[in-house]
Amino acid sequence: MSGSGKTGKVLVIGGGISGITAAVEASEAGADVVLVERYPYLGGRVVQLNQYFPKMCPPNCGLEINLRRFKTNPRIQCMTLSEVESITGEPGSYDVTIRQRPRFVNSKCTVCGACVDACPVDRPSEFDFGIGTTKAIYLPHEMAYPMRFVIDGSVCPGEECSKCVPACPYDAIELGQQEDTIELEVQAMIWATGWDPFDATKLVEMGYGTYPNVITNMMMERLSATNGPTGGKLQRPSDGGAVESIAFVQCAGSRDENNLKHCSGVCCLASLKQARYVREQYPEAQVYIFYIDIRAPGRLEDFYQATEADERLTLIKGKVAKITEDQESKSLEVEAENTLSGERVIQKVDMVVLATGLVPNGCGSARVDGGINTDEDGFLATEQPSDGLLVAGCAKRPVDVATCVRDAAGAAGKALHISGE
Amino acid sequence: MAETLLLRPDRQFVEDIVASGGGDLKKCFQCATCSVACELSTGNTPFPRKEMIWAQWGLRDRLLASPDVWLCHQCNDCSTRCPRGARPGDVLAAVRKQAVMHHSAPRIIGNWVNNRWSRCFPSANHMAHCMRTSSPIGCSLPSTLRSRAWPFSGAWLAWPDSGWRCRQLTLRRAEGRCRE
Amino acid sequence: MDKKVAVYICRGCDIGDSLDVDGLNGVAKECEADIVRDHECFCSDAGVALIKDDVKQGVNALVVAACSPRFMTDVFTVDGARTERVNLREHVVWSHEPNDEDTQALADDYVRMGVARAKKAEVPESFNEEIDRTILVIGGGVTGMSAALDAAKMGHDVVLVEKEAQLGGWSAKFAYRFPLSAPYRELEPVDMQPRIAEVKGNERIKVYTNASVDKIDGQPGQFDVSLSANGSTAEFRVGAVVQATGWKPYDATRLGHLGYGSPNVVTNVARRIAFVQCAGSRDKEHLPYCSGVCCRVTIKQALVARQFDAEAEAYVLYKDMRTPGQYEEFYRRAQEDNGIFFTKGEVVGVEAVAGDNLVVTAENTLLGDKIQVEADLVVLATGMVPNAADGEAIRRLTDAKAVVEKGEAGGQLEAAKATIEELKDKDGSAILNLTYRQGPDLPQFKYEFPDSHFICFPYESRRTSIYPAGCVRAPNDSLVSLEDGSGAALKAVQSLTVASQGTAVHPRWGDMSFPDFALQRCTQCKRCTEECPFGTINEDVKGTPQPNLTRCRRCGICMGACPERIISFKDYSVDIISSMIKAVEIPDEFEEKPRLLGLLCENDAYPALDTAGLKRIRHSNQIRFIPVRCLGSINTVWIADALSRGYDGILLVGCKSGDDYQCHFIKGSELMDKRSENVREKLTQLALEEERVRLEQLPISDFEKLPQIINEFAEQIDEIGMNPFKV
Repeated sequence: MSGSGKTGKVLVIGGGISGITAAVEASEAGADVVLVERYPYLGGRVVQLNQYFPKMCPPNCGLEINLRRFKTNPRIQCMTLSEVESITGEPGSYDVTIRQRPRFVNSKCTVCGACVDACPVDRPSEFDFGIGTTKAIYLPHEMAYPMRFVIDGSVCPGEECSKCVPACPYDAIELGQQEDTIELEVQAMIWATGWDPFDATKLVEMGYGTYPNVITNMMMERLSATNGPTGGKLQRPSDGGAVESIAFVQCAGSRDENNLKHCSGVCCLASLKQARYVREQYPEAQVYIFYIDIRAPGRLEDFYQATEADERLTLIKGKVAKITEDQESKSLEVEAENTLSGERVIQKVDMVVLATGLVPNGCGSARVDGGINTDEDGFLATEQPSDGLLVAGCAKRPVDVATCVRDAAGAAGKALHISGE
Repeated sequence: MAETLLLRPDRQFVEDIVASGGGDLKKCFQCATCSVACELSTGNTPFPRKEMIWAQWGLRDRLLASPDVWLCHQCNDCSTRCPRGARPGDVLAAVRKQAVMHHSAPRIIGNWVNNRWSRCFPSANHMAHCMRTSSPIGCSLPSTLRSRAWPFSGAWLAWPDSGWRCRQLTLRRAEGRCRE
Repeated sequence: MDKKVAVYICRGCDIGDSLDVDGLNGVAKECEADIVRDHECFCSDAGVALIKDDVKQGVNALVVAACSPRFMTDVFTVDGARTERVNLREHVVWSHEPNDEDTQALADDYVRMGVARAKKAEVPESFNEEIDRTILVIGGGVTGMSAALDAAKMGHDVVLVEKEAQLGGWSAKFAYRFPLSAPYRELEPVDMQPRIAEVKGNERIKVYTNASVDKIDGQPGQFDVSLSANGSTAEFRVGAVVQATGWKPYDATRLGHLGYGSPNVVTNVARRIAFVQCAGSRDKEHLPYCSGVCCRVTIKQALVARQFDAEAEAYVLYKDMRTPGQYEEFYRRAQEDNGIFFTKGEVVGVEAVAGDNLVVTAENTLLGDKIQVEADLVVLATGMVPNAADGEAIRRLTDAKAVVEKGEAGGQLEAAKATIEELKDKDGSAILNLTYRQGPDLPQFKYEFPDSHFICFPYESRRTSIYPAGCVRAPNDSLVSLEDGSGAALKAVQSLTVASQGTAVHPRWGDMSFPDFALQRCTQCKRCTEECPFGTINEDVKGTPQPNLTRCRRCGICMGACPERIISFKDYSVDIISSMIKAVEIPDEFEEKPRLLGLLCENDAYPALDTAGLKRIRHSNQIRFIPVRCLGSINTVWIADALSRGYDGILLVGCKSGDDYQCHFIKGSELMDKRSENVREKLTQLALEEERVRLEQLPISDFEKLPQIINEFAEQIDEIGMNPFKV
């Protein structure tokens, strides 16, 4: 009966789960899409996770499907190491300037890995939150897309070293690459800029950064992942020892006027999930979760109930306000009031995970004419001013993967309003 | 199970507390950061978390009979750390004001004490000064009031090294500030 | 078209250093490849140019023996030819001893298998069906109106069907809603009229009220809809469907223990009002899930009560306050109100006492006691139940009725009667009235919600081009419902774009192949119509399958199910995979070199083995792998072929089945599990050890475990000994 089938160009900013979804959904509906990602790989925060709640399944399973849709779709153009610098225009016609940092490795790279042995420079792995190291030339992770090495320009001595250049049999390394500026014309754009983990060093009483066995929940994901710095073996950072007891500190920074006023929405379930990681590796381990409210909406309640049924998991309603370290053993004592019994709890544990929250990434330093706003928590304004300027996923609200995916599809639909008529 | 408590919120009492300096009382969401932050809080009866919810629900009688509210020396650690901005320290001060009003007969004495008290009390340093100079605030109360306001003076009397402890706290806090 | 096969053997990425490439060339020539070339790096510009030149010269079947098909995909895709990738890098040289006789034999076999497939596989040509681009939206609430408007703005005609007399759904019945935008503090008045007017005024949208769907017949792009509206009927064709049928409140008459039925206990609508949260939610006896919105609804209602009556008091008794994200601010806003009181507590009873008073008793509260509050009114915050129908249950009921009508005798009749008794409340509950063999509505997953992969692909139902949205898919607030309508509209529009190109929707987007049924050999066993997870295949009265291609997701489960092997795809068939299996050279018994066959799910197990290769983790050189679309597409004849050919063991690796299934085709790995029971029986009949066939479930992330599984299997087969059927 109808359907013009006309399409236009959509810019997606951010290559995490929301951005990838928005890009594939819009392109499969017939739009041309340009995706811009600041890191050298796609997947954003979800590729750093070991498993998703509540199915305890690996993020790479869904990503493999999505990236295959991505790779085989000629309508999608993907730019990594790139950030939007400025935007002018109006819905239906925007001029966008994108700044692309050099990768120093071109498309001839076959990921054979010969360069790694030649590289003399080590750097802390940002992918693993500094727990491990990589060489200055590195593959972001085993399932990265683009599947290509990258050089960290901030640590690589560049042409004066050049050891990797002859090591590469495929002429893939170009140390002379320069930053590039790209001008684009698009009809609609979707901000899917996602989030950064809250900086736990701000929580002075929690000892993060001082006590080696106090880590954040994102570090916990890397410590549990097979492709992580410990090969998935969960161990105490201070001595590599076994984790026989562990405490999860909920709302570490979130629901806190002194830090993040908002509830980060996913940390309760993330901690319940991580409690399962621990219990799977250490059948005798005791797990304590200190919380204010357990927030498990929808059918995620099942996951909460099932996890809670574990008799070695103790849930204590009360926020941890103090952590102290035994200098000898590096074990920790967490202190809270159990508000249901009205008693003080001082729990000795081997390790503490701070359930730090989501800090919205906003629109970075990009200048956006015709404005995208942030609310007082820093999330991009949810009130969508037009069908040409859209926000999706955690840039808008702190939500789980399923909600991001759903939201990104909706934003892709709205972006097609402009091109569909 | 403990005995059943029939709640009849006294909203006037809530409003009185709000009016006498506990304006952020209602923001408390019972995380109990305050109970841990409080240096004077004890293992079995941590406070002031429960005082906060009693105050929120306007449980006047319970609060006025509570000895714990008199433990507070208003160091304000709880208020600084409160993630909700509920300022438990200020709420406790307001509760004490209400208690003094309640226990004073005639009321004018209560007003007198509160006025005098508010001059010396809001500052922890001032309090510590009182203690260092061995002039517990309670001693300056008229004897009639002292007997009726037993929990107040009693708390100090029952705690021989309170002056010393308070000094330690003050010193530690001063050092903390220097570090900052 | 005549096949002209060219084999390209790459020497890059350690292949040339670890293998005898000349030997591989010889193998390719033995396989009668028309052209055989090697190059130090085929993905380089020079390498690609060689391939493209050959295609210009008429080569149409390329065998690229280099890296995994997951890499350099676009580089080796050449118009006018089909590319078969032979994974010499990850699966051979990066995971085996270099310059070793057995590694060479492995590479030789992979080249043979690649050529065998290239010879038989054809480039799929898409079907060409007339696609109607109208979208049918069922449900005229927030979600449905959002879907209708979005689809219309994307340039599609829309038919919007609402069962009530007015559009607007639940939202039109509310005076206020909780805020949908920053700063998330104050109540927002609800006025649905502008939105309703926008829908009614949109020339692309046709609205039917007082309407219900009588029948949806056909397939995506060609759904013929009959509906009744205001006493008359209408018939028209649409392409795709958004089901936005919303929710109903949980039946509060089942909450007698919370005093429902007492005159002053109402649900979510005096001066002292007690709100009992999670009334019948988060409760194994009632709704086990959390409806996610009731905490905020209660806050809204408490604020409304306070707004109208300064003397009003609201007592909120919660299990956990669930105000996620920026809604934390809405909670704080309510707390700041002096007339609203909160405590955690488990409500154990609501009793009427003297006069009109009610007393609510709660335990485990933050006040340190068992508490009671007196109230004039008790509001039970009841949860949301989806307005969905269970397609599979209705189908079972219909089938059982048919058995009774036919007057079948014996156990079958008894079973049918039992089914009718069990499912009697499903009678007449159908909403979509699809004419699908597998039932008239979407299959349900859990708690009556009709989705499937709710984390990564939340819109995916098990019926192509029918997308549930809003509260029927999951309990949502109105903001989420609004967005959800947009998402479902996009998916509906997209499915039609894809269908008009003749390709598959997610997860095999872009796949042009489709199942071809050689019906003259069909025995009407109905396995394909039963096992298709997507309800693709209907049956005629005799039970002959009637495939509907635009419903198909191309997983190949029908192909795996068919005992007569009559279902084939152009590039994936029983014959193609059989010839790959047969292409492997099986050493004779005296060489004492067992040969194992591995069939790997291409979505998860295959990439896991790639990653193991990238990590240079070694596995047994006795096994030969073939990727399959889904474990469910494995036809057991392949297993029989392999065993009679002399393979000593067969390893099948797929995705997790069960409640938390990870199979992208939902049922594939579960079906293979069932089929492998039959396989084991057959093995026993043949006096073969049943351990010779092993089924494993493995997530994509377990790349370290997969080589271990392979090695353990190889050791086990070594212990069992050689296949006695070896030629």
